[in-house]
Amino acid sequence: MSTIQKGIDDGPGTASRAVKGVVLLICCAIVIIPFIGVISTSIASQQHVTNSGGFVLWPDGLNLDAYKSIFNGGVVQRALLVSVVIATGGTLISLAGSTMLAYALSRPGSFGQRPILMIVLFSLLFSPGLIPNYLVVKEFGLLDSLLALILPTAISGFNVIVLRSFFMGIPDSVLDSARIDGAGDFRIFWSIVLPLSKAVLAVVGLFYAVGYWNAFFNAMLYISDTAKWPLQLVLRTYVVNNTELSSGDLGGASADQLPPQESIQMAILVVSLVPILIVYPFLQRHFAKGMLTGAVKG
Amino acid sequence: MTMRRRTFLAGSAAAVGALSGCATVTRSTDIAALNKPVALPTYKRFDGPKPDLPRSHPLMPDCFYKFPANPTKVTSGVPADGSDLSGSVPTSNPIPPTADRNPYWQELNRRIGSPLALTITSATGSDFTNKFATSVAGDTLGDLFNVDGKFSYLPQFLEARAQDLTEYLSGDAILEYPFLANLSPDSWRGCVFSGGIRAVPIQRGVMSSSLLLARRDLLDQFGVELGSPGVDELNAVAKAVTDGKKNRWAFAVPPTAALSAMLGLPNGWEVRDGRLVHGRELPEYKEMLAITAKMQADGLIHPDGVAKNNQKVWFSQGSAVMTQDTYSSIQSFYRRAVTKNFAISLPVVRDSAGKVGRFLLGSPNNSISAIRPSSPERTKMLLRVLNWMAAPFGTEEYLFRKFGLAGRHYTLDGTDPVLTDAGRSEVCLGEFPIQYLADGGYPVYFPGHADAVDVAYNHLKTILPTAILQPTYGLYSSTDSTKGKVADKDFESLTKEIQLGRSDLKDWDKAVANWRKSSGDAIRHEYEEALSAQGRK
Amino acid sequence: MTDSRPSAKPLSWWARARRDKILLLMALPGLALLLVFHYLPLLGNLIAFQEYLPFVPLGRSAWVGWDNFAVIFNGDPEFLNALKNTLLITLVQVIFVFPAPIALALLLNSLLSERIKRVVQSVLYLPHFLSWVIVIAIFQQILGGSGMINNFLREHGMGTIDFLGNPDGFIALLTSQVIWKDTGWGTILFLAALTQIDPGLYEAARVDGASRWRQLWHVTVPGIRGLIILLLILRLGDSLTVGFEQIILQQNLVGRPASEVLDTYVYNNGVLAGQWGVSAAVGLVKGLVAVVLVLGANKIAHIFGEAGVYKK
Repeated sequence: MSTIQKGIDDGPGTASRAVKGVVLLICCAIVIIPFIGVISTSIASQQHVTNSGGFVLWPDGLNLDAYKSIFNGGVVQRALLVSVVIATGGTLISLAGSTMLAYALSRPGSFGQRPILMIVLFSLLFSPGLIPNYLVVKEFGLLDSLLALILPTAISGFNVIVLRSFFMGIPDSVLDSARIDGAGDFRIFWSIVLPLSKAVLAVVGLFYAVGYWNAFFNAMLYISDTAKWPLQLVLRTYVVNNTELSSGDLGGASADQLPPQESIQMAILVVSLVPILIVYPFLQRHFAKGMLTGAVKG
Repeated sequence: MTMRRRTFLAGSAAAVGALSGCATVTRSTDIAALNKPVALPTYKRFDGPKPDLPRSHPLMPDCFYKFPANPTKVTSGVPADGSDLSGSVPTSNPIPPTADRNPYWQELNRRIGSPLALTITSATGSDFTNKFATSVAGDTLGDLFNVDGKFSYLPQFLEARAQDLTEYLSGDAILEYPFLANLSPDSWRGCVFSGGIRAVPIQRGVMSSSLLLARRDLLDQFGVELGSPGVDELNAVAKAVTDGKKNRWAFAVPPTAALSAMLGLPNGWEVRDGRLVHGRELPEYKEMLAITAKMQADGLIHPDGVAKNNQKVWFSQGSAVMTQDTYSSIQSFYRRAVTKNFAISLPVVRDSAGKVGRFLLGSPNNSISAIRPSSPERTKMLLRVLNWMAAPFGTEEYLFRKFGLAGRHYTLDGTDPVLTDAGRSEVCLGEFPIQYLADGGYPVYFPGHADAVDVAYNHLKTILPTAILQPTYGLYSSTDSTKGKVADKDFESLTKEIQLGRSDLKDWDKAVANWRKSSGDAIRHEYEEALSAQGRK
Repeated sequence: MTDSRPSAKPLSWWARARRDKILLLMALPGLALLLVFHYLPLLGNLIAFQEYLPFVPLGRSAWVGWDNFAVIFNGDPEFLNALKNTLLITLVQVIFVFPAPIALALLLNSLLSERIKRVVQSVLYLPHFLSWVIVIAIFQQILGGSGMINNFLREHGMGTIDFLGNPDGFIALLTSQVIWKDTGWGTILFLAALTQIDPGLYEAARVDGASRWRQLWHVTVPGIRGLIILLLILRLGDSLTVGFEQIILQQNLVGRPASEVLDTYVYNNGVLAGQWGVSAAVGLVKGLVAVVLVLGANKIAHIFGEAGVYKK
């Protein structure tokens, strides 16, 4: 591929390539090693976990008790479904609202642009308190509704501003020619702006999706029906804090084979990461696409 | 500043009141009214399953080697009236499947006689605190709710939002509810606010008190005798068992509970020479700081011990030979044990005169729960439900409450119930969160570890005669509940600074002087007033 | 920028509204969500002027004027220390944390192998998904007093190093944790921006004989400069907010003098004591400061001919 170009530009020397390689290798190592520890701890035996002081670098075997204990009873499976619904539905709603808002703000000189932009910007700078948020959600009858987990966080001012700046980066000539062809604002938005912005849509979509996926706080406040709890909130209850009388301290309740807390904690992490690992490559394709052209030509 | 603030507050309140035509509400600061005494419920021990060891002291928990065989049913009929019940509770466990998919919950509803809907919130982080505050603001707590003990202006809140239970529970009235009457008067003292009984205790008794735990197996292995140490003996043993090269330290955390008893420290505030003083104002306290700082400097405390991030693991693992934890933690250590001969001893520590050191008890209650203001009939019904939830250890009701249904949720190992997979999930590891609405007394019961029961019993038997609760327990000081919390946190972090050698005792003196000025003296004054309002001073 | 619309003549208010009615309709759903779920509850920040008690019906709490702001304006040395720490951490993080993902994105972009590029990027974004509790636990397992490094040193009779409990190293610790956690994740936006650069520009540069470094400097960097400045301005708006959870979890280790920041100070002095009004008051002041910083930074960007968040 790039060999064709090599003679033309003074391509990367062996030295600079070696340096890059070493830097990236080190970066990957300091990320990967703790992650191996996370996975190892989740499948290590009680004895091994305790003997290593709570964190295992390499497991002594394959012990799936922590995972079994998480999936025991079906609560986590149900929560997984809820989370998928929220993340999918929420991301769609968020992307629709944010891209339209950002597009409206990206047309130079449009009516009301400055005040609307300020409303978006200031939403980043002032945050309402816990209790007023709760009362608003309650007044709109959204308590115990999945919409309470989507609508309040559907529009992120940050994402709108980022989208707007990408939309403004689309050359005017492209849009003007469409306008001359008689396309209205929505047509231009739908059939020109969006297709040209796949990279940033993938990124902002990812931001929203990850935001919904990781959110537990609003669910904790707004959802009393545990059947509607998202995964992160359910998993949170597995992380027993060191309260005075926590799990297992109560006589008798201690079935002897409860997996160690550390293993469960790490297994939780793995369980909550898997869906992201599955979805990520599909999105990465979009924002890494340009890298391809850049690399081949550069 | 205070003067200005008060007048300004009064002025603006009056102004707004006049403008809007309705009175604004401020917190009451009348200490005498907030601490008005009330006749406590009559204590009547329920004649239930007989403990395996004699109760040597009123505070002695029931000690059982085994779960009583053939537990008997001690109630008849159902406590509730069939109407919908709702409640809010924290939990330290994974949440159970919802009622529609949870045979335990369905059976619970059947036995209570009403469908019980629970709003469950994890006790992780400050989740419950946040949830409680918003539920208070949105008035969505339900019929029965566990009260967040950290909530500010607790008496004023309970006056406004909880049923006054005095007429139902004070004196002999409580005998209607035999399992509530079975809870100790100390626990009930924690439920009195503004001259009324406004809550029901989740009793833990002495079980949540902190004490020194030692690995008997390791001490034996090293041939070291800990016995019943004073400060010097403890230090000598600590030095003998510490070996940095093998990553082994004497203490997982600074042994403050043991040292407090050795040095005769008060449990928070204490009346000395007719005046309340706080432990932190005393030279003994500084001595304790100096000793722990020395221990840290000598490398006797686990290097991360002051930060206290993982002490349970260190103690189980053997990288710490001693730790500080509660009586109730003993069971979990045995469960985590990685060696067969794992054994815990609970040394009785001695003061400078060689007598048993005065033991400082923890709060008698884990928390309290309250009832939404209701009609007398409904209040009585809700109290019957709470009473049912407080049936003591060893009864059939208790067995169901904690372990569910035989076969599905537990199997018997001898007479000890052992949860099945379904039991762990549906009964929440034996801690279904109704235990934060009401619960019976907390037993010493470590199934499979009879020797540990003996160790705990013998320790309790020795220390209980001189053990003390916080003298201010059950009293309310508005300054303590606001500024006091901040000061406590400040002193906690200064303690760590001193233990780590980054600050010294002069900083402590300075901090104490500042604290007296900013809130300490006000708190002292309020507690003195509260004590005299209760006729205890 | 000039209006590129066909009608360049100034239009009346009403005519412009009618001309842009489709745009306004498109803006409406997002705007409505912001107004209902963000600005409506923001009215609740009026409790900054009240002694708010959650169990008192709305609007019946006592008005206390500026009392709740005292925590900010009374010149408490602890507050000033917290402010100093906050600004210092912000400064260090703007210098070290902010450019890290840009550098990494450029490094990734310069790689030749597409596969390596994607694999590396998919590894490095992972730590973003760890909660602070876990990140800190991992750091403790490795750098703590009985962490791997110190245990090794001790077993070999060498002196141990206090990485985590050293107040002087606290900011470095925080910064390295943030870099570890979020650098990979942060590259995503810059990678997307790199896709917007017109490949023709590289072509032209090469024709002019520009070296790879010159291409980087004259094509790549200018191509993402607008985004960098935009993000920097938004970051400045957050100057007074630095990792609350990350810090409060580690305050124990280094003590409050070194670790107290604005948010933890408010937590320790207001929230902990149930003073809801105080946290609302601080929120308001922080918001106002952020407005000044963002608008000011935007002005400066304009002076240098950049677009910033919005154009003039």
